[in-house]
Amino acid sequence: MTDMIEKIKLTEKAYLAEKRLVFGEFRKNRLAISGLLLIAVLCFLAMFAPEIAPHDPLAQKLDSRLLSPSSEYPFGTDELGRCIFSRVVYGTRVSLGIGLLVVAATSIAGTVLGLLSGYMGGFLDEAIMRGVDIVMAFPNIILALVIAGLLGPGFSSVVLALALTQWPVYARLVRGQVLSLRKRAFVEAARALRPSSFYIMRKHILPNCMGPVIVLGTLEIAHVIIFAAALSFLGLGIQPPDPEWGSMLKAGIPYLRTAPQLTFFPGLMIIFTVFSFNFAGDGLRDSFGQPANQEVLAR
Amino acid sequence: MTLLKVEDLKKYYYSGLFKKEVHRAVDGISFEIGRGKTLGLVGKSGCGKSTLGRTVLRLLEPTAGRVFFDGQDISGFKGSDLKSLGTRMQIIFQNPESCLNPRMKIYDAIAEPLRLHRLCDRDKERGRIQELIEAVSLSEELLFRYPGELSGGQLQRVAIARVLGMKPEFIVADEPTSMLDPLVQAQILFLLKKLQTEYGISFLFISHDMPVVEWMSDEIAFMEEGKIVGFR
Ligand SMILES: Nc1ncnc2c1ncn2[C@@H]1O[C@H](COP(=O)(O)OP(=O)(O)O)[C@@H](O)[C@H]1O
Ligand SMILES: [Mg+2]
Repeated sequence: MTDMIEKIKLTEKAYLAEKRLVFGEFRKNRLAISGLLLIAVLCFLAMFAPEIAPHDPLAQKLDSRLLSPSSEYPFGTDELGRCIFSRVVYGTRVSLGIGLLVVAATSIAGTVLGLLSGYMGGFLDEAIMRGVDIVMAFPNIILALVIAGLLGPGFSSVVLALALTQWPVYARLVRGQVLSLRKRAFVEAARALRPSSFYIMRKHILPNCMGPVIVLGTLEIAHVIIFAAALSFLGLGIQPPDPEWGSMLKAGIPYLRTAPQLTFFPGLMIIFTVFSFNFAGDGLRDSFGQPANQEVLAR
Repeated sequence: MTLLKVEDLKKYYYSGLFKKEVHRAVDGISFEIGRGKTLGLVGKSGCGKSTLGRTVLRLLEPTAGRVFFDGQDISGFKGSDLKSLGTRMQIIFQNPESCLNPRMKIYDAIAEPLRLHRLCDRDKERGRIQELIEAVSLSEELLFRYPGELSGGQLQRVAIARVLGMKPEFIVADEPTSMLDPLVQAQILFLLKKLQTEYGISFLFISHDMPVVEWMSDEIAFMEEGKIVGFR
């Protein structure tokens, strides 16, 4: 009899534990899924900006300056009478464009350099790692400011400035992965077949370090978008009249009290975008498990 | 008839600030292995057995000494010469969990050496892999799974099938069963022995388990701190 009760208690315990686990997973997933949904919304805004925006984002209308939100202007108008909603929607194109471009370029370049550095070792490793050290010795924003300042403002110089400061993160991550992978027996087994080093890197090393790179890339998009906005805010990035959230914030500063919609909506969009990529990145990290976790967090 | 002859082989690891500290992992070892024969290599953990096995295969570069394989000095082999050794000399590892690429299906793992060395036509590949998987007594439904879904014993069989596809003449088996439970261990040992008599493969069979080595080997070498201290 007591046996019976014990058993029932145990199954009940197991059941509860399982339920808790599933619920935990679900909660984590819910954040990740909402992140992905928000990203989908952002992509939609960027792709269909001309259809969504009610006004030309550049059209000035000096008799309707600094209007509060209304049905005509959902987010109000700015100091030159331009529709803030339309500008924010078009700004999605710029920010996502910079984010994706920079992350694509840096993740590919950084991964290749990290692979070479970790697998080939020797002089190549030394050279690449010194490059990494040099870039990482400066606070990112300072270096980006200097490069953007030298190149002059504009879309391409923002992309270049950010790309030049962000590649080392991937190179370091991938190099670490390669160093631990190359000790694994399957890499040695592959070497015993005597293919080229290039073959081993492509077939055996690279596929096993892609997970963390994808996670890092997703988180980096958020990072890069903030960075780009900061550069524009400081006047070194995208220049007015082009709609970009950072430069819109800057233009709105004098009207912070009288017309807060000028800063509120672009600011909201930045926060929104950063949150969505961070949530999605965290979700991906959980699904890729432990190694990704440690490496990405450690930076 | 001698297949492998090792002469005064040395592998030193240098460490410390100016590469001054020397660790003599393999320190002047000589032996011969005949065709179809097995040399057992026994010694305590850390005495240099794995280093010796890898240096013989030139997966590690020797510090000094020479290795003759089928009458040729392979110590200076480069490029295509070295590549051709890939199919003739092979290795089986201790830890089956990590000896296959976790992102490669079993089929591709077995097909990889065949493709790399063009050992069989594309249209015959499927049949050849069928043969190989049967030779190690595995069911073909495992072919399209990933290594993570197989047990240690199954993985070790896959590793053997993969090596077998190249029809190697010489295999270094580095403690191939030490991480398996006793029943599976016995099965793998029987398999290796069967394949050896069938295909006439020579083995350097590394282990620290005396009864296993005695059962597998024609001759046994005892190793201590980088040197062979006796044969039996
Ligand atoms: N890459 C390396 N660098 C320095 N020392 C090493 C390296 N690899 C192995 N060793 C040392 O060489 C010795 C022999 O190692 P190993 O051949 O793995 O021994 P065994 O297989 O007999 O257990 C050990 O003491 C080990 O610490
Ligand atoms: Mg060993």
